[in-house]
Formats: sequence, C-alpha cells, structure tokens
Amino acid sequence: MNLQINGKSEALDVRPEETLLDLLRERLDLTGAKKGCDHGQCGACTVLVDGKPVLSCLTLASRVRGEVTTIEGLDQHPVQAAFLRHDAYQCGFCTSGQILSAVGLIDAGGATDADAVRQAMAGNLCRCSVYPMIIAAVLDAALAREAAE
Amino acid sequence: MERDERQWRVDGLQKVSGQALYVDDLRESDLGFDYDHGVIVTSAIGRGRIARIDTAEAEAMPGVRAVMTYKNAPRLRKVTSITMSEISEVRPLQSARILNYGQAIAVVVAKTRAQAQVAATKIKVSYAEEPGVYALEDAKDRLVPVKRAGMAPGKIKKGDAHGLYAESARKIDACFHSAPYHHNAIEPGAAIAKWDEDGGLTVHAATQWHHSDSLALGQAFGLGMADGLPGFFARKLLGRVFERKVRLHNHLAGGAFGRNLAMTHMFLAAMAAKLSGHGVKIALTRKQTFSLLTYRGEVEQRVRLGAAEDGKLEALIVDPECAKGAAGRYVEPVGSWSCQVYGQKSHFLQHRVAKLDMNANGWMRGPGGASAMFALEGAMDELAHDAGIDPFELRLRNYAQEDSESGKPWSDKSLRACYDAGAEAIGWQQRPTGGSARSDGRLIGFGMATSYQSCWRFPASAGLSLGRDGRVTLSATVAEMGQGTQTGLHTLAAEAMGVPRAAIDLDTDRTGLPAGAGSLASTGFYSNAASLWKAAKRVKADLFQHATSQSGGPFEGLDPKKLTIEDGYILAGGNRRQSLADAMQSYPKAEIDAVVTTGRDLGRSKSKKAVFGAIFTEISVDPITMELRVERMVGAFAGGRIVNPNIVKGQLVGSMIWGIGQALMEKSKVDRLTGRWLNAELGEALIATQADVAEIRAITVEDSQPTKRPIGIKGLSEVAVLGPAPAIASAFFDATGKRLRSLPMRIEDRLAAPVERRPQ
Repeated sequence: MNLQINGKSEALDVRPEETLLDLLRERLDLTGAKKGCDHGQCGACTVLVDGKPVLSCLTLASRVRGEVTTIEGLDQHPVQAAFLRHDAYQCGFCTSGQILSAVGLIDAGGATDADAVRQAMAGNLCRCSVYPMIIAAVLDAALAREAAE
Repeated sequence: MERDERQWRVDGLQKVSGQALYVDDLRESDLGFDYDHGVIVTSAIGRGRIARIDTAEAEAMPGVRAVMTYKNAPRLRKVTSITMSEISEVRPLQSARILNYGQAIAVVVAKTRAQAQVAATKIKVSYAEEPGVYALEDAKDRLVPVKRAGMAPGKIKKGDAHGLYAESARKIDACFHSAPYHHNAIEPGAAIAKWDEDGGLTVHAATQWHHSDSLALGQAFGLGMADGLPGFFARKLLGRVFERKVRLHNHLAGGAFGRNLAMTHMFLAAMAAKLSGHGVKIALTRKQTFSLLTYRGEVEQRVRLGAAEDGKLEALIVDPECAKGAAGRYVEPVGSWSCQVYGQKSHFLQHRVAKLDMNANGWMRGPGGASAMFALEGAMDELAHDAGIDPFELRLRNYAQEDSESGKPWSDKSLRACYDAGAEAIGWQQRPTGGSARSDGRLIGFGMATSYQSCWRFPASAGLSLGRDGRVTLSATVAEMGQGTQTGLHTLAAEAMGVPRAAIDLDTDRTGLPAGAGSLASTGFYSNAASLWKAAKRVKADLFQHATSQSGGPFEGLDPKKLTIEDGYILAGGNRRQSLADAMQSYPKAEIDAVVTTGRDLGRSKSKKAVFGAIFTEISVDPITMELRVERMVGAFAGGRIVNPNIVKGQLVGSMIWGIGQALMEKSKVDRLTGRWLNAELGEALIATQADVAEIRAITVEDSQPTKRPIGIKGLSEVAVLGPAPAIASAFFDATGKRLRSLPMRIEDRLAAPVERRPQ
C-alpha cells in the first residue's frame, strides 16, 4: 500500500497486524514517535493524520488513509520554538507527542485558555512533570498564531 | 528558530525536533554493528521453581537465533554494586529458582522483534509453586531490625526518648503507611550489547551512574582487574589506569528517577549476546518495567511525639517497618530525615525490615525522605491541632540551628526564610477558617509542611581542555535523564572559563572519559561541579602562566594572578585583551587540559549541609463526594547558588507535582495471593496528568550565610518531592476534619475516613 508520510509517498508491504507506530519506528526509522506503553495510555506515540492527533500505537498501519505527519515532518514549527523558549521538556521522551498534540489542538482552535489545554492534553503524560511549562508554551504558540492571522 | 542560548538546554533542539536518540531509537548505522532483538519472558508465579521449561517449539520459529534460559545462560560472577542497586543479588537466569512474579526466566533472540515476540509465546513452562508473602501486612512475623537502611543507619538514638515520651504533657501516637509505587518513566528502557573480538564487552544503555554500572558489568562477566573493584581502587588510590574491557556507551534516558542503575535487562542483553555470538538489543515492555526494575518500597511507621504544653518536642520515636525484595539489599532509608529536621531533646528510631517475595525495591526520587516526611509532618500537624497551635508556629517553636542527629551545626540554614516566603505567597496569615465553604459550596483547606534534603558529596572526576580554536571541552561520564545536569554543567563550565556557552563542548557518553559522579539523591550536579570548577582553575592558571611569559604578547611580564577571562577574551585591565584562540596559537601543545578528582572525602566537614524548603497549599474539597482539588501550591526552597534558573525551576516544579501524585494517586497494587503487580500499566498505575495540576509555584530563597566557596551549589530537586503529601494531608484535615495517614489519599480513602476534629 501507499502511505503519505511527511509529504512523501511510501510504498510499503504492510502486515495486517502492524501498527502505525511499529511501521514508523521499525520500518522507516522515524524514531521521533516513542513507544511508552503500547496501549494508548501515555500519548508518547502521538502523530497527526490529516492534522488530527492520533495514537499511532493503537492505529493499524493498513487502516491509515490520509497524510501522516510525525515530529520529523515539522520544520521549525512555532510550537517547537515555544517548547524551547518555555523549557517545556526535560527528558524529552514524551516531547514529540506533546508537540504534535499541541499542533493539532491549536490548529483546531482548541487552545483557548489554560483550562482548555489542560483538559485537551491530559492524555499526554509527562513523568518529569513539566506540565505548567507545557501549558505556557502551547498558549504562547496559540497566541502568536492568532496574532499572525 | 530564534536562538537564545541562555535559556535552552544543551539537548533542547534535538528533543523538540524528535532527533534526540534514546537506546531503542539506535539503529545499526548509529552503532556500527548489527544486532538481533531479544524479548524477555517472565515468570507467572510469585515463588517456587521452574519444574520444566520447553523451548523446542520457540527455537524452531522463523528468525529465532537463540533461546536463553537458566540452563544455557552464561554464568555471572558475584557483583558488589556500590549503589546497592540490585544486580548484586538479582543475577538473572542463574538457576531454576523463582524469587518473584515477573522475574526473567528466558530471553528469545530473533532477527526481528516481532519474530521474537511470537516465539516467546511458544515457550512452555511448568512450575513447582511455593507459598509466598507479598505485602507488608502479611509479613509482620518477618520483621527484623537492621544495622543499615540504605545510606541511613538502622538505629538512631539520642537521649532517653521512651522515658521522656512517657513524661510528656502532650503525646501524639499515630501510624502512617505509604504504598509501594513505581518510577514509571515514560521510556520503558532498552539496552544493546555486543562482544568485541578482543573479549571486551560493548554496551549501549542509559544509566544514572556510568562508573558504577561499568564496574557491575566488569564484575559480573569477570572482565579482569581494570573493570572490577580492584581497578576502581587502583584508579582512585594509585592513579593507575588499565585497559578497560567494558565499553559502556551512555545515552539519554527518557526519565529515570532512580531506577536506571544496574538494570537487569542490560545484563540480559550482554548474556544473550554472549550466547548468540551476535549483537542483541532488548527493549522492555511497560508491564515488564514493574517486575524487572525497582520501585519505592512499602513503609509503615508508628510515630510518637512527646511535647511540652507549648509544643516543644521532648521526644520523637519512630518505628519504621520497611518492605524489601526477596533478593537485594536496598531498604527505603527512612531514618535520617525524621531525626534531623527539628530540635527535639531525644529521639529513637529503629528500622525493621521484612523480606517479601517480590522484586527488589530501590532508589527513587526522594529516597527515604518521601516516606519519612509524610509521617513526621503528619504527626507534627496532629500535635499542632492537639496543642491548639498554628502548624506554622509549631514549626518555628521547634526550629533547630543544628542537626539533632549528628549534633553538627548546619553550614547554612535558611528554612525560616523559606517558611516566611511560602506563607506570604499563599496568604497563610489571611487564610479563611478551615472548612469554610466557597460560593460554589466547596470546602477550603490550607496546609503546610517542612521539606528537607541532606547533601552528600560523591567522588567525581572531570576533564577540561582548551583547544587552539579557543573552544573548551568538558569531559566526564555524566548522565542526562532530563534533570538537566549536563545543561547545568555546560552553563557552569562557561562561567568557570569565562567563555560564552556556545564555546563549550560536552563529552560525556563513554568509557575512557573521567568518571563523573552518578545522578543520585540530588547529588550529581554539585559533586560534578566541584571537579569541573577545579579543572577550570588549573587550565586558567596554565594559560595565564603561558600568556604572561610570552615575549611580545599583550600580557608579557604581568602577574598571572591579575589576569581574568571574560566573554572569551583574556583581560588584564586597561586595553590589554586577547582572544583565547589567539593566546593558544603560541602554546606549545594543541591544548591545555586538566583532569581533576574531587569529593574523595565524601564532603565530610565540621558542619552539615542540606537544602531546606517549605510547602504551602490551598485545596478545595466537595463536601459530599470528597473530590479534592489542589488549587494552589507554593514551595519555597533555599539551596545555595543557582547556576541555571530554568533547570532549577523545572526540577522544583516537577518534584512538587511528583509529591502531588504521591499524595493523591500513586500506588502499585500487588495481588496478595500471587505477588503479581495488578496495575502494571500507565493507565492504571495512576500518575499526575496535565489535568491534575493547577497553579504551582516554586520560589527560591537565598541562603542566609552565603558560602565562602566559589561555587556554593547544592542539589535543588528532590527536596520538593517531600513536602506536598503532608501539606495536602494537613489541608484536607483543615477542610474536613478527617485525618488521612495512608498514602495515597484516594477518594475512597477520603470518603471512608472518620471526622476527628474536635469541636472548636
């Protein structure tokens, strides 16, 4: 099958049981998406499909119909810059998932205030617990986008 | 992206762009060798023996290279782990014995991970089961007093605590319990190993203490003197360096929090590689992290406080009962904390330990203190209520200028300033009466607790070199697991050498570099900072000597002591200046370097050093459902000089959120019948999420007597884990009159607890 990943078309022989996460990591060496739990409970594997955040560990690769964006597909995105500025990461293992969730949320117009971000991003666990910095980064990026529009 | 180097972590750009590589992200092209995938099979009973293990079908599966069980696994030698981390007794696959549920019983090695996973399901095991004991409440008859509890003495005694307690005007006698819980770093963990042609062992892993794990690998595989304890002593005492056969490459850890020390899967990867004759990578599943890695052990403590009418402590008696694994020496070191905080006249503490048929517990963020302070501060809150004294005021009445345990004075103690700053920020004096209802009907409660973390110095070596191009390289095996030690040292190296941060390179990741101190109990940064600072001094002295003896140079004939470096330029007053790169052109060698070891005395001195803090919190509680929200939490901490404010803020805020998790949700639940961890999933072993955290503020307070030493750094991290749980318990009592003495304080516990507040 053909998969659209980060603007490229990949012709792949996909096994029926293969998850999108395993395909990205083990077949395409796109290791930015992480396997934290493999059960859709931590959010570290979050990628965008047609701009919407999905848990790639719970998504069968063969079922994907749309443009997949991984962290490797972002190019100096304002959300990445905001994460750096606000020190919104520590060990970095959840960071790809956090950033892609944030991009999806901001693009959908959902990052309206701290509480909205808090609820919407509760599925992206951060054990280093930089949660307040993540909120600040997401709101900052959302504001900047609003100002630009 | 705009560059603001003052703010960013050294690995920031890699981390936000998905380019940071953790062990399971490494590919053959990164490593320079091929590898197969190993999958660990674990035991399905809590105690007994493997009666029969049949691997024939698994071995015949596609892609399978080897199946390793106790029958064919390489033998491991005795390991004396200097961290007490549990490879020493938990040497995997050495016999048919099952010591805990989820113990490694086989490793399947195959070309792909998927093949190994499928083959692993084909292994047939039958067991000879034996009865086991899996929880502290079932193991009371196993409790025995111990001489050592981790880094704490088993028994601590001052004066006649029992006598004074009996005569005290006010008495508190309460029992506190803390549940076991796991680190749950988001990275499950992985290791890659390969045996080299010269008989050496190459390992890629993420360890908190490179040096300690190198030694453990060297001992386990009998890799000669250089890699074991004799080599360690030869290096430290005689300065002799031998060729190392253990080549340990350290990588970023996706969180560690104490667990990334002598991890079983690192040894299993090396064993499987030896057996199969090929490189092997093993990645843990989330479930396996519960039984193959360590956790914070269960602790129960009876605390007795004897006080005078005015609340001044006469006697403190603590009886910690600590659970420990079936194998392993680590015990939650409750002791020191309880006895060091206040100025009690007498104390008595004796750890008693019960061996459970569980996996070994181990180091975890706030080791000892996280359990100890919940009990001590809980009892203090009860004493405050009993004596009708404001909890804040009670702390002031028992304020001590010296460590009650050792009798030594604190080198600097600014706890009073922390109390004041925290109280001011939360509005302690203006707080409403506990249990007042807000306009939405929720009950308001305020609480506070003291927080404290002793500082131990560890030996650390660091190398610093200044090259012809004026760039500075700091080399030392220092781990980075998110705590920011590498960024902090990078910042400090720039300051020590007087160059911009952009001129500093770090070299931290492999055997052969100077052995940095490990990341343990918030000691890593300042232990390593000391050797870095001293190395910088030597390099500068050498450079200044050279610059002033250079005929025709700008500093010819000047006193080398008058020279300084700022922003990459050597200055000597007036207009004399020269860039480091220019100054180095005439230096006879390509670089100036110095390798320095500090901390051999483990920081022993006439005074005691610690970080202090105070946590204040406001919570709201639904009066019917007891649903609790932490509305605001303020922590104020005095921890010496701050090198990088970002890193400090990140550590303190993260630690306070850890404390909230410990207080309200974290519990690894064990099946008392089988010893299985029942909630071995991130969705079930709850940790704090974004939605659980409201306003968190960390304030740093300057130490009252700034140290005369140039660096004056302490460890500002784990201190902030210790206060939130007792502060929330205190606030919950303030709001509802219900005392919770068991962690976590979940909604079912809050509903079930009786109201204990006396009518006012």
